[in-house]
Amino acid sequence: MTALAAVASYLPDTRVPIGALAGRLGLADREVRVFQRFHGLDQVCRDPDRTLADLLCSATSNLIELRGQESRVRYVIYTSGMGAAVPYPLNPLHELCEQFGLTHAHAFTIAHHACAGMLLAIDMAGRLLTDDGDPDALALVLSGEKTFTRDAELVPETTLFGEAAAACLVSADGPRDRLLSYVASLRGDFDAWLDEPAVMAARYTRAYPDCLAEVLLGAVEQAGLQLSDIDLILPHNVNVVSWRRLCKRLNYPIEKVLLDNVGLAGHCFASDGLINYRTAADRGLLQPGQRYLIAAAGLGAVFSAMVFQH
Amino acid sequence: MDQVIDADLRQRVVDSIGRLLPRVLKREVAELPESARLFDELGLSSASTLELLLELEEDLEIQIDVEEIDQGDLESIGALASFVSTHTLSDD
Repeated sequence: MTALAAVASYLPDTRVPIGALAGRLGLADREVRVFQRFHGLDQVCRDPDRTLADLLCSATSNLIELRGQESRVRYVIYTSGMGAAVPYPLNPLHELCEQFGLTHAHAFTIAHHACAGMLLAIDMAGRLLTDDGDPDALALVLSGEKTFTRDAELVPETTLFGEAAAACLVSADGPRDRLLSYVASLRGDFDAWLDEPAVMAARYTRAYPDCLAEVLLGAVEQAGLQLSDIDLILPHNVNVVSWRRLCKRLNYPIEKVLLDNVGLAGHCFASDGLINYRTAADRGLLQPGQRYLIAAAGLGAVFSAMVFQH
Repeated sequence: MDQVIDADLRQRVVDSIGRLLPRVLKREVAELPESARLFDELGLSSASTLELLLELEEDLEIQIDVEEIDQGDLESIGALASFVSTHTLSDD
């Protein structure tokens, strides 16, 4: 059974109040106040003088369990929310493999599930390792993004992005953080090019709660559990209001959704789930045996959920 | 939180919605009966509903407890006014 052997995150020290971004992003004062009052957004992480490779290397450096285990790493998978983010022939993933002595591993990037890509990468890593049959083999899964264009900084009326990174070691089996289920719903009918932007946005907004609720409940059911068995939800950090509405709809206590990082970091692309895992683990919110769910949504659109047992 | 409808506050909310909607919708609105449906008839979206709530808070100098809001509370001007008038947070 696929398991997480270790999880690390990297949040830059620099935090920018969202009001300071308003001028450059063309946000009206009222839009900023809605973000603050209802969306729970307050500041976003920025690492202005550092590159994408630097972000990924910082998260990997924080993964202290990797040290001395490099030879066991068979796959290095970078999950990108933005597709190509650096010009050819630069490759941050290869830079990272050089720096951490991982050039022997198969290194590749997946971008197909956008901000839900971390869950796809964990699932893929587990299946590759299982097929290989080496019980000691590991996969290093990475995520992180620079906010280098307006589209990478803002989803209008929805969220603001932060720069951060996350890294985890995946094994084919393990005693902790065992993957109980994974459900992903691919909704190509929400591809941005299929409709007028405003029409698409309205259609997506209307469908969003049902789509996310469906994968949450699907993952819980696939794990043989009830939603009330889930001790903690590690959400994406898109905004607070959508989680409040979803919890009300599912009759799940909002207090069990770790939303603290929404206001502290913003939506950090595919990294939110692992960033929130690290926060939960560091605060002692996860006890051995407890079940938790990681939820993600990617524009395009993909809705995903994984249930783990700590 | 006061669950009993304060008729005076409710009327002030209805009046305020009438003043604020043209600004939020960025167009003139001819008639605004309490039965007017916010999404279907007036064209509000989820995002513009939040803008309207924010404007109501500032216009009436109240704080709305939005955690309890339900889709049914956004059905019409009257439903929203009833919700707001029973879900204001006290300054005390």
